[in-house]
Amino acid sequence: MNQVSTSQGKETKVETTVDYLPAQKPYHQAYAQETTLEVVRTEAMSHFGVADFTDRDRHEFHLEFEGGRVDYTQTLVQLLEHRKGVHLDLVEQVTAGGL
Amino acid sequence: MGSNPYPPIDEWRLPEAAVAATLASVVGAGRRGNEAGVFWLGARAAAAEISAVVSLRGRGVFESPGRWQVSSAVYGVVSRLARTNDLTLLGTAHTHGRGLPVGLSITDRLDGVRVPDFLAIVIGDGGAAGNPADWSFSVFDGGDFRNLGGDEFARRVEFVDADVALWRANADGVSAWSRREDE
Repeated sequence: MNQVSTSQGKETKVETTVDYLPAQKPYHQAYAQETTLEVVRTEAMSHFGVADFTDRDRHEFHLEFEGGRVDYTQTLVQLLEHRKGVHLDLVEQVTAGGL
Repeated sequence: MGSNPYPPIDEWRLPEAAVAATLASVVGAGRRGNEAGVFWLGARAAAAEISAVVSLRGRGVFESPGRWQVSSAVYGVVSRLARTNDLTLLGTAHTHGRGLPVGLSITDRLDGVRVPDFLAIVIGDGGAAGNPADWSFSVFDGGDFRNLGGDEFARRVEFVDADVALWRANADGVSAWSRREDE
């Protein structure tokens, strides 16, 4: 769950959680509100040891929120705008014929 | 960044009920000449028991004579199911058609879930090969998938008597599954 947390005298952070289906535990990190979802995607992929690559197919990892692909230019605070909490999933998309 | 997301697995505990559910899910597609498959879920641990079988059928699941593929939307659905039930994807099992090698193809190796100790099973004869001793069990060792040979298979795969949860999933969502082949 992502939650905006405020501590007096400290920068507000967004507690961010990303699940990856084969991993035992999710990725947790507190990010600044203005962090883009592309940054979250990149750092979650690093944590889970996965990367986009192309062989005969194109393999890309994406973040989903409530079943939909997120906009990577969006910031965490924008994603949270209409919700109290979110939980992201990292999923792999394989597109045939990448080469 | 936190702890290792993939604690090592020394052995997999595979309930006979998971074997039966897997076969029930894939054999129909096999009769139609298509490959099909399931996800095996459980808790990742030194002794990791498969405690749920997810039958994959419908939108976002592509079954064809030469390829079985699951869309990212289906992975998302199963990811949310697993989170809710505190489960992890431990492996996949899919079929190869009659006359084809019972082992991972190049496509299987490239498209498989490439995380440490992930299991990839191939069932021969379109799912008609009912004895798991005749299936191929491969494990991702960090570089590639490696077949679990005789001694290692015997040491690391234990067949147990235990119940498993059954679900059917596709890009539209997930539902309970009775294990009936054509439900």
